[in-house]
Amino acid sequence: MRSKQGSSWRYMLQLISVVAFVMLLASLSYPPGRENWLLQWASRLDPWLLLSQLRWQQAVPAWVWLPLLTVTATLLWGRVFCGWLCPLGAMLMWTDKIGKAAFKNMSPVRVQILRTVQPIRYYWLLVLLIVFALGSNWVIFLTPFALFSHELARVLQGYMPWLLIGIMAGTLLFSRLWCSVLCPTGVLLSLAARLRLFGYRIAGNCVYCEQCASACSVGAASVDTAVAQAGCLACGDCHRVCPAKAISWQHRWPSGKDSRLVPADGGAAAKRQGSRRQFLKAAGAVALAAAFWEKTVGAAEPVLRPPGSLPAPDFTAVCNRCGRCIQVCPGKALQPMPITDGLTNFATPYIIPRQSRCDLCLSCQEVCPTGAIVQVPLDKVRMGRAILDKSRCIAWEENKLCFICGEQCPVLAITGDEYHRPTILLDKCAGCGSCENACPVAGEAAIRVLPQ
Amino acid sequence: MERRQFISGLGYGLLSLGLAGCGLRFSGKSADPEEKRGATDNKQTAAPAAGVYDRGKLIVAEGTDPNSLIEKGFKALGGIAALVRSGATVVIKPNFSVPRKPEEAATTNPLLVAAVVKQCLAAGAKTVKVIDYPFSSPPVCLVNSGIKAAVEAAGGRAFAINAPNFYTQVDMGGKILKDVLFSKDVLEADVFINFPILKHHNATKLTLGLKNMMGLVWDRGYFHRTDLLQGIAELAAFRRPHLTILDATKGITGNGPVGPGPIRAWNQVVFGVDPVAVDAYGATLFGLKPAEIGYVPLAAQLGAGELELQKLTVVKV
Ligand code: SF4
Repeated sequence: MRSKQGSSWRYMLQLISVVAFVMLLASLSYPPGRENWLLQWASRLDPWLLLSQLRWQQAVPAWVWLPLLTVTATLLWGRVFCGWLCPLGAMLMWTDKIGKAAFKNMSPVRVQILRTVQPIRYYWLLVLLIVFALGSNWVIFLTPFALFSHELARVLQGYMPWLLIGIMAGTLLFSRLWCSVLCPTGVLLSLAARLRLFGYRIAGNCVYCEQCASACSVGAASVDTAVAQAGCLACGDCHRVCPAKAISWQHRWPSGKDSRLVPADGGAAAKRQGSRRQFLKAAGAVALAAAFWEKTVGAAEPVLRPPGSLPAPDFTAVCNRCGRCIQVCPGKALQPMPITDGLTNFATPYIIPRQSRCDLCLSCQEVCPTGAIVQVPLDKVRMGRAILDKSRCIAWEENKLCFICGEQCPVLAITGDEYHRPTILLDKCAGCGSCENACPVAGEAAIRVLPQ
Repeated sequence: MERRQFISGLGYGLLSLGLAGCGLRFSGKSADPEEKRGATDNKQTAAPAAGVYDRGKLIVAEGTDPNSLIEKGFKALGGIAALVRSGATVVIKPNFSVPRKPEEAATTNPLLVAAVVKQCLAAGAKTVKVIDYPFSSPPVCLVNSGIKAAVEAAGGRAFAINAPNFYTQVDMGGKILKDVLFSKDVLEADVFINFPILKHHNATKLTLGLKNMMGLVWDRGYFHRTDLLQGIAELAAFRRPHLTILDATKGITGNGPVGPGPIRAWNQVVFGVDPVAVDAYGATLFGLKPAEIGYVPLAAQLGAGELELQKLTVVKV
């Protein structure tokens, strides 16, 4: 990772990661195939997905080795996942390079801001962990694979990826603040990276030019301590810009001998003051988390969810809004819920049967990386239940030979009597919405599917 | 929010422009010179194909091998070359309206469809389009029914006509069917082959050729709202296919049209110019009288074809 070659390897990997991710997501269609497998594998590299799985399904998944791979890599070399592999990270890396070239004179301010904001990181992690434990999904939504997936899916459906645009605009001005402070995966891995075995450090003839500090996109290059901090993405930019060739990739343990510039101890009083401040910050974090939780867990109007979805509050808690189910849905039945339905529901998939029916193809179950849509067999699917308003039904009211609901019901849940007047067999009804969708009565259908 | 609306508005704008473009393309006044040339050529060479075969004859091919069933059938009719001239545009309307697999016997056997596609292309057809307007979404029906794979392997194009731009308004002059949005592809085809499967239908007892034609109409709900049987009959009187091929190799005898249901095999494929006669014959395979299938006698009354099987020659091959 020291040489020029190292960085071209990294650029290559990042490029592959972004291009592959975009192409795989764009090609996700019915029936899901290899592209889905690759996307699943990629998503599962994120340890948050494992945490979510453990939190909600209380079982160790077969793919547990994927996130463990990431954690192991982090324990060895720090945040190589963020710096070398993450597609969102790659996007932000390029954005940052553009930003640095465009706003050259902002460099000191940028370093300053990164340094000032950085200590918030672990309090933010605390907020995230509390929100997560209490049962909200915002954490997972902000993880890179979910967020990038969600924004790409938006683009593919013809919407503006505002979040991505916002984050990229922020990156132009403040470097990779997102990666170093806000990204849940980034912060989690920063924590793990504190124990890493290898890292960049200053060994010897440092001339205090601070070029490394202004080159570092996450504010991890530290001249004071001579050791790259936990946030280091192992990108090697510091090593490359150092005019004195003083920075190298080394074993970090045992530390002692090279950390010559550890700041002088400010005395016991300062320490005590520091810990009180820390306590206050932590308390603030808890309060913030509670507020977030209130906002995002509130009960919402029940809606029709994809076939096999977890029951109501759990579904919105587990779904990471990656939008892959919406992307793969062949009948365009799944739609993202608008923000006007509340933060709890925002961007989660739902079905409006009068507009589009669910074909029960169950592709969404296959592509869902979080387990929000469980792989439930067709005969166990209960998305909702149909109810018939006989007073509006033209078979019952006007003796018409209509029976289109019974004709099109894919699970034979509607029977007709001798006059072809429909009756619903509730124990068979999967709630797919075909009947409501097909009902020829003007306006609201005579047969409707209500959420379970 | 407004921006998002703006963007989607823009999308719709572009979409409608696109649709307008398609409209132009389909109306025959194509800007594409090649297409135009093709169209005019057809009008001269592939003159009115209807009636090239004997109307009073039904060919019943028996067997299990899809290719030979189709070959035998066309040979007994008088050869496909009489129907499909070089440069012709052929439209085939099988039934892939439900997301069932071929072995579930609720959709037209894809291998039979592919065999017809092959024959048409061998006879010199310019394009062979295979269309339906399925209940469920196109990808699921096209993939599950096996139609897409089989037709494309044979060199044809299979697609669903599930958007308004595939339709054009026609005056059917019926009692209930007046201004109806009907398939452009069929209206513009030189040769139109209706290719139903024989199977149970829970509202009309059976679905056959005449019923299969409903998949060429945009607003099916209208039929159900007004008078389903009369609607099917009037549709039959409006547009007769050049040929109806009934897939009676096997079909569901209950739980139709969607299935799954009990399957019965007849191992027959019926070819006929008269759509009413083909349906009448199909009814007898089910052990029903043709007059029991409500829309069949209605269509006969409207002059769409012959209900009395004894007035026809049934040739088994
Ligand atoms: S339900 Fe699953 S696939 Fe759909 S958006 Fe949520 S996490 Fe993604």
